[in-house]
Amino acid sequence: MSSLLQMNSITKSYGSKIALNDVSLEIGPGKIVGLLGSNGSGKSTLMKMVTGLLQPTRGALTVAGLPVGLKSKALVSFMPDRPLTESWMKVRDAITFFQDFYEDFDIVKAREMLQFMKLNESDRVSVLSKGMSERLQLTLALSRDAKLYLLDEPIGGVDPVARGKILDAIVEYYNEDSSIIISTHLVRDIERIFDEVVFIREGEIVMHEEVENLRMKYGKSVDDMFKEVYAE
Amino acid sequence: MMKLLKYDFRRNGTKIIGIAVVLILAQLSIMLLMNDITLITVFSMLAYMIAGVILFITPIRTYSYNLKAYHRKLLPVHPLKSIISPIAMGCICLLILGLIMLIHGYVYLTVYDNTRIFHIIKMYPMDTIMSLLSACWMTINMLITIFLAITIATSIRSKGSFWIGIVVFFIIVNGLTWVDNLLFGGGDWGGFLIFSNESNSSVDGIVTNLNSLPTSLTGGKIGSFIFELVCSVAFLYIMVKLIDRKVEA
Repeated sequence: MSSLLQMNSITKSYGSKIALNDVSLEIGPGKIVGLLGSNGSGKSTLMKMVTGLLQPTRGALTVAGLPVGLKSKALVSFMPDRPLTESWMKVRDAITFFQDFYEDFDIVKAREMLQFMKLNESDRVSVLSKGMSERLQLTLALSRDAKLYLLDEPIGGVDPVARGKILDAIVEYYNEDSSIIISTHLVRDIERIFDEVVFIREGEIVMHEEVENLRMKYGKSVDDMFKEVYAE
Repeated sequence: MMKLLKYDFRRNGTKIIGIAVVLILAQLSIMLLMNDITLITVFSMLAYMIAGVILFITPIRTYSYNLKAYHRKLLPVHPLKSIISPIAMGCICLLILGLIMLIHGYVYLTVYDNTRIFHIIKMYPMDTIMSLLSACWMTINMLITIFLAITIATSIRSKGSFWIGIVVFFIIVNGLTWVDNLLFGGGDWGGFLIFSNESNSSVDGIVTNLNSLPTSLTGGKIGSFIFELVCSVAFLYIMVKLIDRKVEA
């Protein structure tokens, strides 16, 4: 089966600082992939390059066979580490904004998710708590029928109850024909939903393995493996 | 593009309405509290000028914000549309302001029975129209040039990028004014017509220009306009390429 995401020898540097070093990665369809790494390991940089927010210094990158650009943007749904909304917006404005610009935005799914997340359409996004704001961002990202979903730290900074809710929403609402990449360093809370994990350290991929293989090969959970890989 | 324009307007809606309200209050205060006609004229013009400057700056801030905003960068929308949208917003706002100013001026001149200016307009309708078009073009041209400087500055990831943008802007404006003068002996960058000085004369306080063509129709001015137009298209092309390949959020 053809891959949804193909990264060939991608390098990203800012002057002398190398954020990603010769990264090659292939993700097939129908997978939930954990992109795991400590802070500053290059997870967000990798995601931003897939979405076209950053340009690689070297290497080639394709999404569903298309080079990153205008067409690939229509196939990728990204939940970044900062809001996709503007301060003047109400929740319903944010929904309308996505509906206006993304042909694959599913308004029925969005309304269902808003209910699931206990969000009111009349709420102002500027007064939402961090947890509620993350729920809204997730609702916006998952309400699209995209080919590839990228969620950057979707549970960072939210309480355990909200974490559970967000993880349930991811599993319930993501399009199963597509793939989803979730970056996080909070492995224990989220490992139950992963099919594959990618360990990234200092801008280099140190491991890409199916979770089942990892358990059978090393006899360890993803969290234990994470602690071993990132032990200082 | 209309959708982008809608969201640019919505983001700036409060500010634009605020400017309109303050402008109305200022004009009412000037009318009601002042008696001297000269003072009324000066303060009225000043109020319009301040409103105009704010409305001119608004699309610049909007473009600058959009260039770095994730939710705008992620949209599957051609970069050209994201450049044109704030320009269109600025032009619409300034056109409405200009229209209000013209209506206000017309009412003011009629009330104070100062019809000299109407005679001038009636005598030179072409010059008047071309002057208004020139003002519109000057605004668009200047916005494109400023946007280019912002795009170049944003595409450079270093500490002094803001100052690089300012330097780039002055280099572009002065460089192109110099080339424009060299090629066509034209005026400042971005203005293809002003009432001609050499062909106008003053008789009984009324400017006359009986035997001359409108300045806009002379070869040099047309050449200058085409040069500016070509440069603006080139700037747009450079901006699109930079947004595609160099500007990072």
